[in-house]
Order: sequence, then structure tokens, then C-alpha cells
Amino acid sequence: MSADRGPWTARKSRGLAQAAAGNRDGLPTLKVAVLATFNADPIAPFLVEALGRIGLWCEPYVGPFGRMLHEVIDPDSGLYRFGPDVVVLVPAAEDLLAPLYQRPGALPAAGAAELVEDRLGQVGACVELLGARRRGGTTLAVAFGSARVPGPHVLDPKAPERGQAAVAEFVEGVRRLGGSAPHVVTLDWDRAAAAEGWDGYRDERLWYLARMRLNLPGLARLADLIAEHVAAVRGAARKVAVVDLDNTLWGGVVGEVGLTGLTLGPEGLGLAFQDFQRELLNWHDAGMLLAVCSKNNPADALAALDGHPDGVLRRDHFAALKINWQDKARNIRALAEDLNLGLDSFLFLDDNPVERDWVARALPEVLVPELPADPAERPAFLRGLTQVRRVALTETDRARHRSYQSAGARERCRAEAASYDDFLASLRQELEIAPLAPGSLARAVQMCQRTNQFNLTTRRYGPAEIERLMADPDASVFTLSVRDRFDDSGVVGLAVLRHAGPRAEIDTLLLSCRVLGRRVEDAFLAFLARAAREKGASVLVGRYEPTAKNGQVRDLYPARGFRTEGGGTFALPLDDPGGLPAFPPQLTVRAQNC
Amino acid sequence: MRDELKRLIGSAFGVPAEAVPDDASVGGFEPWNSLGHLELLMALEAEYGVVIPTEKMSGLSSLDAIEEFLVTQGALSGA
Repeated sequence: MSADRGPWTARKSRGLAQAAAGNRDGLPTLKVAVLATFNADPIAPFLVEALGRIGLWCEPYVGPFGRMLHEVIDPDSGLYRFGPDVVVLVPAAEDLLAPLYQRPGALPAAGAAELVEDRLGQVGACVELLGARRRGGTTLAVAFGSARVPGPHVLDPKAPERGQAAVAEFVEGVRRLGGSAPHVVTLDWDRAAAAEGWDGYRDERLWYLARMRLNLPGLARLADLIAEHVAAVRGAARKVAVVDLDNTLWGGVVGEVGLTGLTLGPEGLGLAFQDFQRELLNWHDAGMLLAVCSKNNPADALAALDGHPDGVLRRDHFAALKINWQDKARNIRALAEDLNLGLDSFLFLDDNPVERDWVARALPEVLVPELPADPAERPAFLRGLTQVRRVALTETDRARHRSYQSAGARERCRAEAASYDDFLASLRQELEIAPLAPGSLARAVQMCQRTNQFNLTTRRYGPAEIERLMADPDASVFTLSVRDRFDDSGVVGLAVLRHAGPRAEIDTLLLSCRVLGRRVEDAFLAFLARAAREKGASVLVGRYEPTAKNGQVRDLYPARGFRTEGGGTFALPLDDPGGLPAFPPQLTVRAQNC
Repeated sequence: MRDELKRLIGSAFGVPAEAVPDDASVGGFEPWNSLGHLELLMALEAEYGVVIPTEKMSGLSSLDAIEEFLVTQGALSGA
């Protein structure tokens, strides 16, 4: 619900004030167009406010209502002049199925089905055309049913005169559009409105006087959902959940009551704690990493994690355990280093408000939700957390946990190896470097958005920009995948080369933290030098743009024979094929199409 | 009381209260257009806990008319 975001009047004022003040904080800009079959004009300030909360500067555009199709078809429409990054289509059932709503009894069942099919065809055509015209910029298709059925005087939900089935089929058809092309995402407004109550989101007076199908709280809520989906599309979901143990994962303090005295089981509040663990397990299955941070005696805590008969989560589900008496902020910072992830990937769950407050103050990047005091409310609270939501899972999400677990095995192996080179060789790393395949686009965007440390230029490309680069004959986009004897890490690296005659420039070079220190970067550079040379370049130019987090790659280029040109650029001559950087001998590289 | 109303109108239109003239009305004050009018009435309802019947809506088109309506409703005390 939007209640915690304050009344709509306050949100609107904030949105208006933000729009008037301009983008003073230099936030990334996102142009969002809303095309609705009804009057949605007043959503603009709510969009500015909602996207501001996820760190984006929103330029809104609301198309003339009822002209969704025209705006999409006409290449000179306001929509295309605006040039949106995200288009939100809001086809309301009551508008598009107007004949059914006006007189359901006059439409035989077949007529209603035909109407639904025709209107779904229109919405589908809009989605397709938007994809084609905007080279795949994100389209949010809003499944927008209605609080009312066309013929409420007939009770049987199947009766054609009631019209309920036809409306349901329409809404379902819009839902099916999500995923029909890479950048089409469904926003299920109908589900939200049904769960939260349509009544709070509509006002008949506004319909009759202004053709608004949603009242102002309704528009504010729709703006929230748009922001939530935009965040998920941009890959902003948190990656690591750090959880406390006593009174969070189970009821009671294990050091005091022992394993058998804990509240955890199939009945009563024990079930609430079990369900809490089940929600975390679901996050784990979706690729989130779980970590424990608990002030406890390690022996007691591990005994409960390993041995409690009703526990859902076991030690193996956690990528890291910090069970000690140290300050939790320090522990989380250490976790971030161990896992090689930024603190802005972290989420901290603890029943104790003092611990939460401490962590929130010490590590402002960490998300610290206010866990409800009553354990019975917590599973639902976890289900409602929007910051962990993804649109859909990528293969990398699915494999992440396995990968981090084998990182532990890898570290052990490292200790055994006589030298670091022997260790690297013993990993039997196989690299695959290939032009970005459409199936890896989501992963590529995710990496652009999230990679902070090994990222030379930190260009936060979205799906539309990556697709433009893929189509650009003067640019090449490469992905790098790594497999070793422990696991397959999937796509962990991305590079963009821009070709300009004799000079080829490395526009983007980034690697996931998981494969750092394994000479993968050397192999990638060796490959890029050859790829640039094949395209006719005689000089390869690298660029380093410093940020707060990418200090570790400051000397990447000069340390590999690039000449410092000044202004953060470095150049490597490619004239002599013998002078090109070599592939490290400890790994195998397979390169495609280059 | 008039200042309170001006503050509310200003916040509904994203302008400072001082920018709202005494004779502000629909069409007579730039941001106060017909859609803005409805949004303003919704804000009045939210602020004062009143319900404005549809047929009254177009009549509440000036600062004076709104003030009078709110006083009649007992939502504002007369000056």
C-alpha cells in the first residue's frame, strides 16, 4: 500500500516542487511516457516523486487521453517527439470494451470474444510498434481491468450477459504481453487494485467530469508501481540479505533457552518464524545471497542452524556467516569485502531496532527495513518488500549462489596451491568471449547498472542504449563468460569497443567481482586488442573515469603497456602483431566471430 | 483563514501562497484550469474532510466561493 509514502496531496506537492527545482542532484534522467485510454494527466507529479525515491530524475509525458493507438502509430506524434525511455500503456477494459460495458446483453458470447480479440490485437500492435520504433526501449503494458463487471444484474460468472469472462480474458491477454519481446514488461495493476481495494482508487465524479478512471490516490499508486517496475528493469534489486538469528530467524535466544527451547515449528508463532525462513529461501532460490550476522556464541548458533528439526534454512544456504560479538556494521562491511559486493547491494534484517538504527547510520547504503515487532506480520512484510523484486530471473541469478559457494572451495584450493600461478592453472578456467547475444541482453544491462569496482568508465547503459550499440556498425559489444572446475559463473564481463578509423576506443570494460584476480582481465584485453586490430585500428585507446568505488582499476592500462595520454586516456599501438598483449597461459580462451 | 486557503491552493498548483491573488478563479489564474480545478477540489476534500457534490463543483470556481462553501460546511470558521 502507498499509505507509508504519505497522503497523495503531500506527494503531489513534493513532485511539483521537484519538477520546478530541476535536476539539481544530477540524477540519471528517465523519460517516462504514459499513454492511457482515459485521462491520466495528473499522474505527472506523482511520477516525478516516485522515481525520485529510486534515485532517478523523471521527465514525464502524458499523451492525450483516448489516443493511445494514434500516438503510437503516428511517427510525428508527441510521443516520438518526446523520445521516451519508458512507455507505459494503460488500456482500461472499460474503455476498450465499451460496447460490452454499455450493453452486455446485446453481444452474443462470440461477439464479446471477437471484441476482446480485436482490442487485444490493438494493444499488441502498439507494443510491437513501440518495440520496433524505439529499438527495444522498455514498454510497460498495464493490465487494467475494472472494479465492475459489465452486467452485474446477472450473477452467474460464466453468463455472457454478465460479461465477466470477456473482461477477464482481456486483462489476461494484456498480462500475456509481458515477455513477448525482450523489453515488454507487464504491470499488473488489476492484481494490486483487487488486493488493496478498487474503491480507494476511483471516484465516479472524476469519471463524469474529467474522464478519469483513477482518482488521485489511484494515480499515485500507479506511479509507485511504475517506479517499482522501472527499478526492477534496471536491475536495482538488492543482492544480499544479511539476517540476524535470535528473534529474527527463530523465536528466543539460543544461548539462553537452547535449541529445544526455540520458537520454530509447524504451529502458532513457530510457523511464522518458519514462514519467515521460507520467504528467505525463496529469495535464495531467486539468486539472492543470504548471510548471517548475529551476536552469539558460534557453537550455539551453528548447532541450531544445522540441527533444529524444524529449521528451513541451513548453514549451506548462507554464503557467509558472521557469528561473533562485534559491531554489526563492521561485520557487514567485512561481508561486503568477502563477497566483493558494494554495500548498496545489501539488505539487513534484524528484530532489534537498536541494531537496525546503528547499521542504518553507519552504513547508509545498506537497506534497513523496519521489521514489524510482531513476528506474525513479518512473512507478509518480506513478501511486500519491493527492493528485492526482479522482473524475471536470468541464468546468472539462478546460478549466483552456487557460484559464491564454490568461491569458498576455491579459496581453500588457493591455500593448497604452491604458487598463485599454479593455483590459477589448477582452476582450469575456460573463458568464452563472444559478441553480445540477444539472450544475454538482460544480463549485460544488469552488469552495466550494478558493477562498481571493476568498471573503467561506469557508463550505466540501459537496454535501449545497449541495443543501439549492438546495431551500430562502428561499435562492438562483447560478453565474457567464465567456467572453471568448480562451476559455471556465466556471463561476468562486458566490453564495448568503438571504432573510429585508426583508433579503437574501449568505451566500456567491466568485470564482475567474482572473477577478479584471476587474470581474466588480461585475457579480455588481449582479445580486445586483436578485435580492434582486425577492424583496422592501429591504436587501442583505454579510458579510466574515476568514481568513489573503482580505484582498483586506476592503473589497469598503464600496468599493461598502455602509454598515458593524459586526461584519463591511455593508448596501445597495435601495429606490431608480436607486440600485442598476450593471453595468460593459465587459462583457455574461446573467442567467437572475431 | 484566507491565508490558509491560499497556501492550500498554492500547494495544489505548485506555486507559493503569495502568488495566489485574492481574485483567483478558474481561468483567471494561470495554473487554475479546468482539470486543475478538480484536483484542487480533491485536495480540499482531503484537507477538510468534506465531500463536494458533483453539481456544486463547477460553482466553486473562485477563492471567495470556496471560502463560503467551507464556512457553510462548518469546515472553516468565518473571519
